[in-house]
Amino acid sequence: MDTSKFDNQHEWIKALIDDPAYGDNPLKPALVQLFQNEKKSRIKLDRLMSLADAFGHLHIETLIADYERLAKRLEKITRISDRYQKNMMDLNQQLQQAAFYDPLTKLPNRRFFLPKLKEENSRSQHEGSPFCLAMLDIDFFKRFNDDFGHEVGDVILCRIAKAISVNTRENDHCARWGGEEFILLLRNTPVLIATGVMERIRKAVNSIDLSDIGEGISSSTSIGLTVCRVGENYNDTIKRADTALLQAKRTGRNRVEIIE
Amino acid sequence: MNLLSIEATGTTPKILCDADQGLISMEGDSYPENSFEFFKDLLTWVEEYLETLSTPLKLELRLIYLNTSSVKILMDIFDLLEEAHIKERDVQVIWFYDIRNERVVELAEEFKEDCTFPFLIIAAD
Repeated sequence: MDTSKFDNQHEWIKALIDDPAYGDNPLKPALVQLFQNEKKSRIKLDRLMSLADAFGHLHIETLIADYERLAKRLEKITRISDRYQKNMMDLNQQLQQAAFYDPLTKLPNRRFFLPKLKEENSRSQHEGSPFCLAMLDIDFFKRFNDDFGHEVGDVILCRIAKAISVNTRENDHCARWGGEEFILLLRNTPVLIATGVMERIRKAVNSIDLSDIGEGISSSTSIGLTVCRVGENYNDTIKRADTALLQAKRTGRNRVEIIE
Repeated sequence: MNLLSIEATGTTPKILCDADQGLISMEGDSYPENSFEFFKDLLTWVEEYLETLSTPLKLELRLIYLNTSSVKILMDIFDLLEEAHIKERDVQVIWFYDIRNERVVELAEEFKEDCTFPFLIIAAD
């Protein structure tokens, strides 16, 4: 309360007591009593003034306490709300993962791969520089399932998927295409370079350690490789890669067959 | 007291308040456009129950996502229960969570922090 507008201290104390804003102040009864009995109790004015000062301060302290309590509550609400938001984001990410990635091998799936292929086909047609497409099929994979069971078959599939993924170049895309089939997009790559990449992958699959599963067991993959053609729809590129794969199977497996 | 029953929508939870059973149940996601408008009847019901009756009150929650204002309203409800508990009323909260989403436990614990009345956090199937 601004004391400058009062002629004397008595008027100020009276205004303080009369102000409804201080209705709940616990010092009010004491202040009222002392004020009313000032002359009778011969209380000194300075003591009255000290009490009046404390009166004002206590109200401010109550306001500060209220403010701090509300601020604390707001902080808690914000913190909880932030956690909910984060949970939602994490769940969204998991959903994305589930939609575009194969749950067993953790590689991208068809849904992820096809738009990438379409995009690369457009780029290639527009810029006039080729891309290559490879289809991979694990040789005699059914035998793993028949000899060791599907659980072990899954383990082997995952090791092969990892070997393919690790040897896929950063700008390329690989995906699980089907049961034991994979597909690889070699972006902006001529067939000579692509052949080198696919040979490396073929050897990597061949070198996978399966000694913990059985003695003398090894894995291999047949690969069909093709290069895009001018004005071609990407589905035709896929068909040609598939034809190349069939030829790889027919001519001995564990090899890269190329159809340009 | 009347039964209060609000059906769930895509953005609001199912709410059931039964004075005969002394039970409030809330289930689903909660992100109404206007939380204060949506929860007005619930808050009124809780206040009236605590003021006019002396029987126990149990709040069962199966809530998934809460927006900020729903968080605030839930805290307001817990404040009412806390006041009642201090006056020795029998009140409790049971927060059921999906066992596949254990992070909800941390959230429920945050709510529980300021409450002295019985507050259970239980995995539900």
